[in-house]
Amino acid sequence: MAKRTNVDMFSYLKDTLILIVISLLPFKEAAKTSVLSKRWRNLWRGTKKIEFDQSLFVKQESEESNQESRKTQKRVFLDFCKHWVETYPQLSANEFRLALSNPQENDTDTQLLIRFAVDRGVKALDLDFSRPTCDENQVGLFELPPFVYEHIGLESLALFSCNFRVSLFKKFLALKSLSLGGVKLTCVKDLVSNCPLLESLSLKNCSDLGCIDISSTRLRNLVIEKCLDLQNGVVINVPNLRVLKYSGLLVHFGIEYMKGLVEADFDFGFETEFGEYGDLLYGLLGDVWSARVLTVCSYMLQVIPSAEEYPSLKPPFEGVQHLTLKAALDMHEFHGISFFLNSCPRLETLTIDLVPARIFQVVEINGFKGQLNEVAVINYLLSHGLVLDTLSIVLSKEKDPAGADMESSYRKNAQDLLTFNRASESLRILIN
Amino acid sequence: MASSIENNNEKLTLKSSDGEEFLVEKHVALQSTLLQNMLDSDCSSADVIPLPKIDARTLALVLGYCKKHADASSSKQGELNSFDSEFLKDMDMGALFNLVLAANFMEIKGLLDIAAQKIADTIKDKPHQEVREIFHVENDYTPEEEAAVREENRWAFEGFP
Repeated sequence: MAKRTNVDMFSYLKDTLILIVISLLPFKEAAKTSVLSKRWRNLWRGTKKIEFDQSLFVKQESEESNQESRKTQKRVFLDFCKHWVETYPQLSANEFRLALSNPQENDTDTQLLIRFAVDRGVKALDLDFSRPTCDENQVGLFELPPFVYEHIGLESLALFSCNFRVSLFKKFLALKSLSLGGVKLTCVKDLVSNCPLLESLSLKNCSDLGCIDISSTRLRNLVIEKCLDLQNGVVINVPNLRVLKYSGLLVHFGIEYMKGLVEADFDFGFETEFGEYGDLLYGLLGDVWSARVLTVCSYMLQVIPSAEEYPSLKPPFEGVQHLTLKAALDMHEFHGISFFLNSCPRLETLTIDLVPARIFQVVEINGFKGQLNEVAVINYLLSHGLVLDTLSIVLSKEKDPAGADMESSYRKNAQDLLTFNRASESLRILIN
Repeated sequence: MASSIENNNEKLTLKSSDGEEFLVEKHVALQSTLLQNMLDSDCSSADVIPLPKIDARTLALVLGYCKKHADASSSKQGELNSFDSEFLKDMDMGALFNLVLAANFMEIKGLLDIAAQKIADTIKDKPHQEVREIFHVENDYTPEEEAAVREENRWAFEGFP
């Protein structure tokens, strides 16, 4: 038993137990354990989490000029992968990831690596064939090999820029988690109904969708990211959904009652114009009123005041305990911010993620006393405000309960602010 | 007799390596595949099941984990998750390794998973010198050998001192 100090703690563990630990590390971290001591030199080669990522071998910096050297590096990468799987000591593995651009150039090797993963019965398969430099609307040229559909034990599947046959998904009877990106997808409804155990679905950069229409009693997590062809909206009848995240254009949402929603996150940052869509947003917020964690974007803050029912949601967000505003704290957002604060009677935590696109340069604080909450906010602004130019502080004129003048005390508190770390080099702090 | 255990209000007694006895409800003990198999195969005819490899402090922790997981209904997954992370928080490495050994011996998969994860999290993103210090791993490589191993896996050490 591990009792005395200064004894190598891993000496109490057999190799099989150390391998359990190594298999929980990212692949690259697993490889780094080789250098700890002689015992560890080759242990990592039995890791059950295998992640072959081209970007660790191929440098991106000199994109065009150095085609030849990139080709060589890619060859080195593929040779490494092939050698690794040939010498793999285990009969089974848990997870397999292959991130490779233009796999069609190396079809034989790609097929071989995927075949390896399937033969070792991985529970999670992740094939990412997108090019790392551009993530917009690239549609895959590689077709998921037919033998993958025969791997009925698969629990988690992620495919990026890799084509597949929705009808064959029927075979994935154990599939719980599915993540798709960079593909043309026409019918999400069939996809979901083909996977009876599906609990988590993520769609990113999927084109040609037209609409997302999902009915499921199993689904717990739904993430829709940058799917920009949703003219006919998002219609979901998923009563047990826990997490709903959407980022993209503002579309029509039809959401049936969800009894246990925990988290909702909406980001309409892809909209370029601010229209009078307040009622649309108001309806959407009404659908997620029971969430405990709510994240909204600058667009919503600016557009929600155009809702007929403004200035507060009825009934309010009874459940929201944590509200995150992805905002620039621009004056156009203030009505929206007050809308959300007024609509969350049980709020415990407010997070403001400053959006980099919108920047402000001047902050004025009037009635400063130097209480903890004031200092915390100012500290945040100072440490995150990269282009902050002026912080103007006007001291409070309030006297203490006995009527004594407190100005010198407030001034001292304000002067403490001068010593805080600041992100902006050109910042001036004025105290009046 | 196995039947006597079942009659005995569904409880059984476990004895740690340092001789301490723990009275455990059967449904709690069933979190352990080892105990489950022993009960199933009737080989626990003794009144007391000795666990010669597990000391009292570790066994108390293990049983605390088992009780929480046996009593919680499946709908309380979130609560169990926060219990799990709280359970291992601030635990010293010696206790954590004892827990890994006990969970492995008693075949309690969930506990083995979270304890191993905690060790993995401790290793992750740290320079290997620091990992050696934390776990008292003695470096038995010569500097030349160590350099050779690094070279062998150069892709993994990119940007690392």
